Amino acid sequence: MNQEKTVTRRGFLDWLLGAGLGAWAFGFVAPVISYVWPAQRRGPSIQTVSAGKAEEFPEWHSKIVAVSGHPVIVVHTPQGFRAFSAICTHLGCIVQWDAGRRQIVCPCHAGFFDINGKVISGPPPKPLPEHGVAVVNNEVLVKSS
Amino acid sequence: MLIGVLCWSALAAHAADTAWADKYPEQTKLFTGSAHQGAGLKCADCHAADPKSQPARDKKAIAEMCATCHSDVRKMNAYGLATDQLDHYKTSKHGEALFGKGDQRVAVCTDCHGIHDILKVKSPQARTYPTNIPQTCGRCHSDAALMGAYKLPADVVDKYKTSYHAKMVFEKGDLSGPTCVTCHGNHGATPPGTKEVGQVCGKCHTRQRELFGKSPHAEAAQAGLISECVGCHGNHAIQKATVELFGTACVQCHAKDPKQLALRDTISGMLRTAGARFVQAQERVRDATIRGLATDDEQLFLQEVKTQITQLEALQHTLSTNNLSLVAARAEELVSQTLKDVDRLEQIEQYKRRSLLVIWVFLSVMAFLFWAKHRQLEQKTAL
Amino acid sequence: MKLPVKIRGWLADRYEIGVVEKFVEQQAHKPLPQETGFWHTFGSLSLFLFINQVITGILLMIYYRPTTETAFESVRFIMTKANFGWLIRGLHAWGATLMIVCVLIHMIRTFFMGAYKKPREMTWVMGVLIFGCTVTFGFTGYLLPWNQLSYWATTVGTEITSVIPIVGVHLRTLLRGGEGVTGETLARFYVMHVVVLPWVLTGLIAVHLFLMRVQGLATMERIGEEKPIDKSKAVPFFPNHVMKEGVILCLLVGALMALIVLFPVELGEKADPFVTPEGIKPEWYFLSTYQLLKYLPKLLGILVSMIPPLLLLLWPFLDRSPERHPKKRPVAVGIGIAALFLAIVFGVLGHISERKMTFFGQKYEIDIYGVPHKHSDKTPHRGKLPR
Repeated sequence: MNQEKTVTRRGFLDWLLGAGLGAWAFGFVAPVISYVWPAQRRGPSIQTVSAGKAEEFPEWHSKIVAVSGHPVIVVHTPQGFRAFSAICTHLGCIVQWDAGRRQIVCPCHAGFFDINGKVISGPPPKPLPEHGVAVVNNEVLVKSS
Repeated sequence: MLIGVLCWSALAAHAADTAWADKYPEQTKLFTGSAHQGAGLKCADCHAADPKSQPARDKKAIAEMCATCHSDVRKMNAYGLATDQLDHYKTSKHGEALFGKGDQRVAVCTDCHGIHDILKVKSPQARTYPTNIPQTCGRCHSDAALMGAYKLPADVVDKYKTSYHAKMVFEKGDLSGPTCVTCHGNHGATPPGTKEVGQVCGKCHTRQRELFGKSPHAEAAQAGLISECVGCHGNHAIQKATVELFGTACVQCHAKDPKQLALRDTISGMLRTAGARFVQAQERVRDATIRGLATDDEQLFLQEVKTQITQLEALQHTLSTNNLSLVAARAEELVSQTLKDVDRLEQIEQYKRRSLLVIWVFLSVMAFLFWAKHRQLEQKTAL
Repeated sequence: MKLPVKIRGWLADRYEIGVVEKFVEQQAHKPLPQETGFWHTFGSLSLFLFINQVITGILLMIYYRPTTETAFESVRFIMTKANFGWLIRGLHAWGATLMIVCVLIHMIRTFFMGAYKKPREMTWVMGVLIFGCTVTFGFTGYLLPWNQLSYWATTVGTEITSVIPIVGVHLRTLLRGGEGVTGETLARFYVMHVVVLPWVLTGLIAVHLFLMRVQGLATMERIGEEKPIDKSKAVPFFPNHVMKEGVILCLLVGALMALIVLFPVELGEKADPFVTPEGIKPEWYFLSTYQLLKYLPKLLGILVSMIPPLLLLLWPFLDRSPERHPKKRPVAVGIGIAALFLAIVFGVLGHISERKMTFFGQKYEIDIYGVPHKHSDKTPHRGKLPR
């Protein structure tokens, strides 16, 4: 009787240990697989950010997207999409699109940029740096530089 | 025969040149490398043919002599130079004194451009290059004795050197920053009148001038009661405007107007609050970023807040609390959102701490199981 | 663990798996002296932590980019965007500290139990080299996140080599890949950390384990009077000793997870060669040497600080006593305790120096020598390094 009980207890302990180790292994493997699975479509060498679908982007409209943590203004011109850094070169305010004038305007000190990012009037000392834009599979992709 | 005549003329001219150089070696040295030498001018072109004669002393004569070329469109066209300098000069305070009263103490062409060593304005060594302008003007305008005779202050250049404008030009190397001539003009140099000051400042500070035009102060400025811009910001010693300016500027006129002072407090209060909240949010985001939390969105929000605050600083020229409160409200909305987001990120860290308890429980169980197995094996060995 | 019958059959037809099976059996159930207890688990724990470093290191390499423009950002990506990236990084960073701790405890245990004596001198020598390798791992790895702490700690650390006469400056140039700490330094440290050192350490560990297994674990008897293992009282390595290791392993992993969650590794600020932060110090395992060097003129300092590693390396050949039991070796034990004490004192001094502390309401400014001064705003900066 005792012998049987000892065998069962030993077996139970072994089973518990086995299950515990199995759970431990799972607890390690699961996060690792999750980690290895790409968090975004591309890793830290992210090259492009999507600005939405091209067909949902009317002409002479604009959008602001974040590329590598910086705001970028994307404008749909009849000649195609253009994208510029949305940080005004004067004092760093975020620029806006003036649909009426068809110019990029900075609300802080009335700096005006044309559709090529060049300064038309106002205090900004330099043009807005341009970002590359490409339409791939109907998606508007903005490059990080 | 013709050749002989040509050779003899060349020799004679050369002899004449050498005569000037021998008699005036210092001036010849200064003239070497100058813009005029580069244009092919010789000593005799400005001075009389005879080197023994005295150089011009009368400033009026100097101005008219320079103008014989510099006001001649045909002569200046090839160099792309303007030809209205003398006309401008005659409208300036300098010109009015010289041509109107025969005052020889004022500045004329040679005082600012140099005499023999005149360089092109674009050359950094030129007396009229932007970084050299304050020194050039200061030769007279910092001379207390000279300025005293005209009852003019002699500290304007020193004051300018303490200003933010000077910092722009001299420390940051931004040559688009103003020097004396930017505001006063160069050939037509005149201090802008109280009605014109705003236009001068507005050349660069367009938005602020536009907004000021919508404020109750605009009328007062038009009536000449206050000096537009200069009244609050000063002129030569102008510093970067901060919210502190509200403490000193308004009381100049409104010291006994509780209503206006209350408005001042409201407006400056809005700016201070927005600024303080921005700093608060900025520090929290910075701490979170250093810790390694994902603050990409929050950093974008902060840039937006900064945009709103910069707008506030320009908008306050209207003195209208309506526009200001809209923008201030937007800034506050963004700041609250940012702070909430950082709270949320820190909340996630809390979850990690809670899961630590779960892990400890599991590990304690495992340790116990290992220990139990160990005991069991020891007993087995003992048997 | 037994192979399924079919697979075993297939292998048996082609290879002498009987030999392999016997070897595995022997190694698994190897009898250990009955004194083998919980203090003998730290070697395995160090090995476990090394394997942890290798696995988490490989995982980190998937997202880490070793150039000055991208290193910091890639670490940021790991911590904020990669799933469980913070965990992998935490395991690697804290795992490194715990590995050095375990190796140290293992060394201390071996020293006090006299296990380094004949015939195990070379095992000890391998062990000291392993320790050196581990610490070099720490030094090279520390630069990789390319934040302010990394950059400046590496600058200070590599600067020390320049005081060695004649070759010092060249050695420093070789280490840094140039004049200052740059992308070249990052590249070299990365290669060392990720390729060279892992293979070297694996080789050293293999030799160390081989020697240990072949010679068996030491007991506390005198040299030459070792009794053969009493099979009836011996502890089989597997499963008995391994169970002990399992218990300690649970405690270790618990500590590791606690450190990761309660004292998370920070991202820091990106390295800026133009801004030196205040109070830059090397990692804790270099603090005692760093502090010692402050008290001595440069060359003397270098010579003195070379003594402990040399002593460690040559100790089995310097210690002539045949005794292993600590109670019978007062001199060796005394020297060991003194060395530990000095290391801790210098380490603590290194930690508190160049800091401000408040004690019972009074502010103190601790200078570079570790001497506290009452803090007042008029107090000028004290203490200069000896020239």
